[in-house]
Amino acid sequence: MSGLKTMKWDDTAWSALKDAITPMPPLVRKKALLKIIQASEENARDRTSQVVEGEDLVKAAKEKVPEGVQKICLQSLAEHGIFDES
Amino acid sequence: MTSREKVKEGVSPPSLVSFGITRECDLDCPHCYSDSGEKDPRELTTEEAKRVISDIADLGTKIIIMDGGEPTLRKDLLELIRHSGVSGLVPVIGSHGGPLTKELVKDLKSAGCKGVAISLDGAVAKTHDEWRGMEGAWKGAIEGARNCAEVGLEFQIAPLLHRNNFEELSGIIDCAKELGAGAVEIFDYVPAGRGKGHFEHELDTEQRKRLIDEVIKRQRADDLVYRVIALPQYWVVVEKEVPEDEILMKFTRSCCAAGTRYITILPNGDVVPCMVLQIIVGNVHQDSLKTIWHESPVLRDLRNRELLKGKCGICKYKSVCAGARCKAYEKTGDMLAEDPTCWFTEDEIRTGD
Repeated sequence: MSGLKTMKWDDTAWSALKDAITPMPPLVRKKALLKIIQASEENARDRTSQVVEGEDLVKAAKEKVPEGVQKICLQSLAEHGIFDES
Repeated sequence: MTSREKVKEGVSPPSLVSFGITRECDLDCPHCYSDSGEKDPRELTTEEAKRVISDIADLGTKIIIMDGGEPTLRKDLLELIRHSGVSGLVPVIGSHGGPLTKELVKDLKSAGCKGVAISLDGAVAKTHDEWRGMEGAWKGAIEGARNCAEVGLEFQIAPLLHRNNFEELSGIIDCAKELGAGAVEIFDYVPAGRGKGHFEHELDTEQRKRLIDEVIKRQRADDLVYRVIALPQYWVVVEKEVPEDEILMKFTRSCCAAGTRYITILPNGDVVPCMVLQIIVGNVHQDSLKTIWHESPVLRDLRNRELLKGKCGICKYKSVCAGARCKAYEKTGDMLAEDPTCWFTEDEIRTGD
């Protein structure tokens, strides 16, 4: 398991996050990555789940990351079929 | 239409659009993807170029890179940069560096240009100048980079690696670091544009593997941003060899985005999936960029990784690599064929070992 994670993540959600994050410049990405992982895990705990799911990630992306990064994250989540903009 | 439906149809916007604003150039590089030299008679006027920039922004794109040709030879460059910024785009330019005087760099920065990519194909002048066809080109590139550093305009060094400069890769990276570049974007030579059919310049497999090893070693050791273009196997090796946390924090994925997250507009208005995958999918003189992006059958096929053939079709990494579509096309005429330069065995890519 990645040391950045402190909980188990759903594979699709984790892949979506990786796909969203890795094309970004590292300087932009580091803070956003740490913030979004932490917030997603908090969201999972809030719903008493032991696994971080797509919905936790979507909520974290919407609420906790800067606007520029948010757009890229949500687009990647949509591409993985775990977010619907409509 | 919902996002899921959009994605199924492959119409998420491109993150980056290359806009070749002129074919005019004072160098004579054998690989030139836009076969630059004289100004193209179909070059877009200022108003036409501004309309295209607005279309790029309307598409949802984030970054526009204005290149050519040598974009600084276009007299309305600053106006086009300003228009890009006003339209909500992040404008950057690609230059051979020679024209980047301190005054011009200041003007570029004031106009809202956020960065410059400077081509540098040698650690020493002789290698670069011989390839670029002009004595003094290397010195010009270095001075241009120094001017960017001095003015405080972010820049990256963009070497094109071919068989005869490969051994200078390490020296080029050292040079980029000394100059204060923020990134090094390494291009693996593809025989397209003026280089079409010239396979003799291509790196061989051992060189490509060494390139990847060198970049991974460097990226793990320092904070400079490294990107590798036209060699998507880079990311496969990264995923195989680098711990996941380190990938997430430091490594930058950039390939193969042709037609999926990236598109190129050539100086004559032709639209192609990538500067090195030159299949014409429309022309901005008569077609809307939005229509091209949403409706081109070529782009639709590029987005559908299930259509990939041969080894690429069965590859475990096809969603992050997909093979270099440009190399498949140049070697076979089929953009969906397996990447003929990929060295992984079927066993390696089926299992990911």
